[in-house]
Amino acid sequence: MTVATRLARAVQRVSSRGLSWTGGTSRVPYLHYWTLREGADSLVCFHHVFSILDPDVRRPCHAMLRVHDDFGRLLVATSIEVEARGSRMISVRSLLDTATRRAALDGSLELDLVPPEDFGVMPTGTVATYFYMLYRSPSGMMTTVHSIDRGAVYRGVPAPVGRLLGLRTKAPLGFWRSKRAIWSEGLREIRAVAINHAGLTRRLHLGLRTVPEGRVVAEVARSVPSRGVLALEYRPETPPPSNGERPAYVVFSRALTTANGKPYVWVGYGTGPMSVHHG
Amino acid sequence: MAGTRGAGWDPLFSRYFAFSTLSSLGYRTRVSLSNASDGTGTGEPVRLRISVHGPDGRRLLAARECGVLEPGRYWMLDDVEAFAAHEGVDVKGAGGELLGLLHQTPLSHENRSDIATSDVSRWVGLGDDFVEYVDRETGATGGVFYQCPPLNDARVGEVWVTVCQSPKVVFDDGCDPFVLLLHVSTDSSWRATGTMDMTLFAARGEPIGRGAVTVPAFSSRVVALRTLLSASGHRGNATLIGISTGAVLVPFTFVRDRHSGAVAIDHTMPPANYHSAWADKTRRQAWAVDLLQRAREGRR
Repeated sequence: MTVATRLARAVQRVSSRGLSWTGGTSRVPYLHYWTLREGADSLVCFHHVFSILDPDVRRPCHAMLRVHDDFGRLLVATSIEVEARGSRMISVRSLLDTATRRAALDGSLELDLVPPEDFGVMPTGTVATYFYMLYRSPSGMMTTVHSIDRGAVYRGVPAPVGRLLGLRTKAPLGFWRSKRAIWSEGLREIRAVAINHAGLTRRLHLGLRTVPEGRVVAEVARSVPSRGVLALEYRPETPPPSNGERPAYVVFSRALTTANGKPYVWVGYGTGPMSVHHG
Repeated sequence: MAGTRGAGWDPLFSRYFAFSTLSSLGYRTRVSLSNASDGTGTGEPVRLRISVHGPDGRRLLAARECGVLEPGRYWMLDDVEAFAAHEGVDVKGAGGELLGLLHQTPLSHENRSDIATSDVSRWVGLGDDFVEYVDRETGATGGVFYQCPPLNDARVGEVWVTVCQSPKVVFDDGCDPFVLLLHVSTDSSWRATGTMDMTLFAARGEPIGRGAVTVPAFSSRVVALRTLLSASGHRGNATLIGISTGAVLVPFTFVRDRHSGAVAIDHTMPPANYHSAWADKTRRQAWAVDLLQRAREGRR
């Protein structure tokens, strides 16, 4: 166990008993994948969770949104006010159209929800900004998945404390495989996306194999900057051999070194729109 | 989860996956699962069985064996409705959605009556299973991963409450939003009826509709959220807030594209995930009841 990990555990133990000594509620932002591919828009869906869970909260909260491109470069950083009991669906396409000239088709984003001044029900503990991404296109794409990836730095507390708390987001490294087998009949396309949520460049890997046969049909690996994206694309020409069982595909990674992120897996059947699941 | 050795855990619920059909909206149901026990170092085969319940909660198909799944292997059923019909279930005449239970019983749990809840925890924690809905006309799909813990079961808890919050509701000419509720228990004698009281809040926080739905034990319901609107012409995004006391109703909200049939479906996040203050079930129940009462009375 490293000194940093020991220190992080000590801070976490203290934080579990209350972080009021830091002067505020700690917050862990959540992360997601956005795309404009195939004419889609990515809609960031979130609500004023504080006023829903505590009806006495009246003040607006503020959402801090940071959008990065597929190389991890910051494209937009903005703040959005949300009324009590209110919600927002923020269009990434509109945001980029108005805020940047840099062209990008996909990338990652971070959402951090700052509680209002009258959120006093539990000043200790940590706010976790879960949210949803709704992907939608004029040609009929309609798919969604919630955020599961934590930011590497906690907000609302002194920066060194935030970095230590973020160590808990470190994922075990090693082999990973999706628990979903992707039905092969009528399958047009698979696109798996991994995001490097770590704070530094990491080498990412994605693979696709058949089941039950176990043959690797596609693989990609390279170094990806922090917040950057690695994508694996595969269009099957013929159905995989089945050995008498139903043939299918499974996404895997030899090293899920993305800090804490599981891949986003997009699939398209026939001429229909792509749909996504996470993990 | 406290261990309660001798409580007689039903091996059918050592690990299970509850899901609903969406037949009334024109979808067929595909399920996919993996025996991930190999990742724990103590891999063990599981026996797969499917049981099916009707809209009134009655069991229409007793647990029907589907084979044994070895550690590290995958299993799929492409058409749950066809499977049920083949097994004698009157799918078209059921009068509503079917609730499917995909039982995954470790072979070491078979034919036992002394399984402790602590023995079950390991199997629940192995991860999610996947249900996918395929539009019968267009072939468009949408699915969701989730896992099913012990639910509505006095052996593992006294307070069973659901506070549902979903901010991905949208009303416009191209799509329709719905909520899907599952009422399942790991206690086969569970008979409570669940009721979800729901309120829709517009983007700026004003209530724009409400309603309630009753879900018998071991059944599912789909509610078109447009039917809750006070003004049917409302456009824009909204948040669905729902509360069920006395029974956990597992909520999924989804949006369907009217033309492609693609369906954006996901489970909602448990309140405690947002902040530890809401880990207290009694407290969050009181807050949610208060919130919906204020909405009904037009108070902020």
